[in-house]
Amino acid sequence: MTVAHDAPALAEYGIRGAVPGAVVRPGRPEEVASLLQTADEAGQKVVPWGAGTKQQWGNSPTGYDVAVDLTALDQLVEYEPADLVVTVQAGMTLAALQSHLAESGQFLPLDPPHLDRATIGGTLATNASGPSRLLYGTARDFVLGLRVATPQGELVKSGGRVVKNVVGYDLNKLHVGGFGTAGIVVEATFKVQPLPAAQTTVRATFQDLAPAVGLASRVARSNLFPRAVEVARHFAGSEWIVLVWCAGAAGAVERQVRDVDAWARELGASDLSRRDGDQHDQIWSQWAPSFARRDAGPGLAAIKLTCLPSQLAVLLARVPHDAGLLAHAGSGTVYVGLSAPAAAGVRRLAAVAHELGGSAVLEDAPDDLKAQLDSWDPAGLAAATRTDLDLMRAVKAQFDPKSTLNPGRFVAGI
Amino acid sequence: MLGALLRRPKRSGGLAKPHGGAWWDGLVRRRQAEGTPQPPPLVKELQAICGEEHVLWQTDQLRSYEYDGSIDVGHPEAVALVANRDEVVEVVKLAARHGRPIVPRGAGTGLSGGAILSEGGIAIGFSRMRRILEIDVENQRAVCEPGTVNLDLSKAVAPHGLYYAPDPSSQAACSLGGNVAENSGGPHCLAYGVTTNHILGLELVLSDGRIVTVSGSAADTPGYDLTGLAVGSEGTFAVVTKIVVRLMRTHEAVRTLLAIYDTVDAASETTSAIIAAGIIPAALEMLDGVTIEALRRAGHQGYPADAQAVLLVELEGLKEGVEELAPRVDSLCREHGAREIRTAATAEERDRLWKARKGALGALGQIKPNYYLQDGVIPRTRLVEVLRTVAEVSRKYDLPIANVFHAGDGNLHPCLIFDQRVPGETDRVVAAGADILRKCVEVGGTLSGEHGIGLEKQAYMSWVFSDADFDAMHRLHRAFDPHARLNPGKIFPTPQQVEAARQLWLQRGPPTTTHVRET
Repeated sequence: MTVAHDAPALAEYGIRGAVPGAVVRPGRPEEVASLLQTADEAGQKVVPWGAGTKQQWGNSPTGYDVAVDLTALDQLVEYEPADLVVTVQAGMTLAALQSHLAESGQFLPLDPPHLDRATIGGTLATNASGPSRLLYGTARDFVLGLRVATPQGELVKSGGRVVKNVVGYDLNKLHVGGFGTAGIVVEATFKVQPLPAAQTTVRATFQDLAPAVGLASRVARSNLFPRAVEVARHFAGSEWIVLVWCAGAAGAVERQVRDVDAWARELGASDLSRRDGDQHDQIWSQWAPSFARRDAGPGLAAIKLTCLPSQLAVLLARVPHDAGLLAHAGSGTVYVGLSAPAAAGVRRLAAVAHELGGSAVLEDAPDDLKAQLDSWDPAGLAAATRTDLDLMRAVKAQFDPKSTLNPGRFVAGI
Repeated sequence: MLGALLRRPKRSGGLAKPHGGAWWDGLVRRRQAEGTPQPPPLVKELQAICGEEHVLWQTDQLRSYEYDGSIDVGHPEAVALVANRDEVVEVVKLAARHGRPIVPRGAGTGLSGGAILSEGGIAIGFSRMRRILEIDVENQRAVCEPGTVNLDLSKAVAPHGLYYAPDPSSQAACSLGGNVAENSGGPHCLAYGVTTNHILGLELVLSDGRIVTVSGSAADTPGYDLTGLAVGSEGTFAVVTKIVVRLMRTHEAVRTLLAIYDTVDAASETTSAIIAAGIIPAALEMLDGVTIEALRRAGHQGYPADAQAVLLVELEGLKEGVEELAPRVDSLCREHGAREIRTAATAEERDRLWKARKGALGALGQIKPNYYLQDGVIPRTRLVEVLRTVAEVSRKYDLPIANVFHAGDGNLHPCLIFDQRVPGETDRVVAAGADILRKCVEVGGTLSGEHGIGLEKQAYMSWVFSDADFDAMHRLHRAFDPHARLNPGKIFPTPQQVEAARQLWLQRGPPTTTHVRET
């Protein structure tokens, strides 16, 4: 376990001006548990840290004494390709895991932002997802088991290493998307998937929103079962882009392409092309960063909006015209990039999502905007509309009664 | 002695030991003394909430609420057949005032005692809350009351080209509320996931009467995944009053193959090989010779009488994809020793195969009157080894064991067939079952894939979880139901059971193979 106290090292772990007093880089899961217990007993506040790609998400911590850097916990613990099950430590990058799996023709169908750098632990804590969620689901659907360090100094196991398991409560669900507020995940077991035999992408562009969403919805709801259906618009762009990620047996992929192509023509696509091989790979590796969401530069706000999928066109029409935009059409998740964002504008947009049955989360944003808005509830509607927040606080109070972990950064002041 | 501490397997009636304690004996004595029964005060209060005719409290009315599909028996003081959420709230508050347990109950088809009132109290029956409140075709979701029968939902949405994927064998009877409580599975969960993967949101009534809506409309509700935590909590967290489910689009092509084998080993090897080849069929089920013989005797058709094992493999998707995959599955089956492969030529033939599969447990009564159904899960690479152990256990204890299970998931259903009237046979069943579960745990598997722990498997929980793991579960439980009013006495072992399970593990000597990783 290495410990750093020097200013330049500490600055790397800053969150909007909050800098820890120490950075600890444990080498073994047991060390995470024992340092967490020590911090808890001393009343010190802890921020778990992976690659740091999403540390600007959430609200600013109300206390920050120690950063726990988990990147030394990067081992492949166990992998049995014939079982399609893998166990890894939380500090491993998603990219490293994918290359291990690829050797056996398998993959973990999680494609969140920062694919190259993001760690397993950070991806799980933030429940980050990407285009492939349409066919495969999100992290909660692949996590079979976790090992979690607790503020009480224990290493707790949940789930297991088999694909079906109803033994005891499903505590995996507490930590996937729990933003590191109920424990620190040190190890995760996943159900993985065989790589599709064939993959290709159909790209269509439209001058108008309606046919773009029309195509996306038709494909997403068809029994073609493509891997992803995306709708996007560049910053200050006027053209709507629809991407359909076709995947499966070779014959099935050809059929997907054929049907999507025909439907796109019916709807008057202005440009229609098919991207195979390297071109296909390139599209998806550069897809997210080129739009709103990811690596939002200074002065840019990245907002995640959700709505019922049937309301997608309504939601997209209400987004300011100069904003960058990327939607996972089938699930009704939309990422909006606002340049020169103002609190009132973000609030308005968030309220629209609420109206349409969804929610809004302010992910990356300039410091002043973060200071003005609750990142998890920029519209300020949660307290009046949600009935589940007290229960969440009760859960937090049970697992982290002294609010040692990521204090104040999550929903409802958790 | 040991068997007495562990749960005893029983199919029905006779040997079952009632739960419920002194209040029950007192009640029986009082009623005998009084002649014409008068409703006790608690019942009168329930009647004021639900209406007189919707509260069951007399002994003969309660009889069918003493059981579920498993082996245990318990006595409710009353059953409240609620009509809506507000009645649930009132009943829950009433129970809290009287300090009585509450046990929600769907169709009573559960296989682990989840709906049994082992500590008395009030059962909330959902047979009147079975409406599908909303079918949202465009968003592929439906909102249902908890008493909705699983198959009724799929039938209701079928005209829209949709269905609800988790399909327990009891789907013609079991309720969605029960499915949520137990996180139920089914044959087609191999490709599409179990109940938890298909529940978008819930309306919960907590044990203090608070109503909480968790997620449910759009994706990714900010905050803890309370829906995911509540699913599979076996009715111990909250009473579910509304369920939002994800519906799936039906596939345009389906092909059902029946691969026939002379040995269980060969069928097991095939299963492992199909998964290892990266093919995940919609379903991959195994039936062994004992099951096939029982089906024959029960008059089911479609399974060859002399086979020692068959695999039922279903492929779904676009017809181009199915056509490509089917020959690969066919050759994997042959390479691993299938003597014959049949393809269901018509929808009727397919239905017949599935009907027999889903009726297999019932058919086992053709062999002996009682069965004890297990639900262990193992890594799919260990099928050959573990099924050999099951066969050894069958020989060692001189008990027929039928295997009819979700092979592709590694979710075993060894079914120990016996006659509880034969002295000593029940004890042999307990011991044999423990040996099988132990083997599952040793190879890196676990106790239950889809039936739940309930009253039936709680003794063995300490084979899988440490004190720290239990502590975490108790913390979660306290957040939802701090006074443990909902479905008490389930899931967690008593200290005596922990000790009995520990003794049992030690007594059987060191594991034959082990996969328990120490760090």
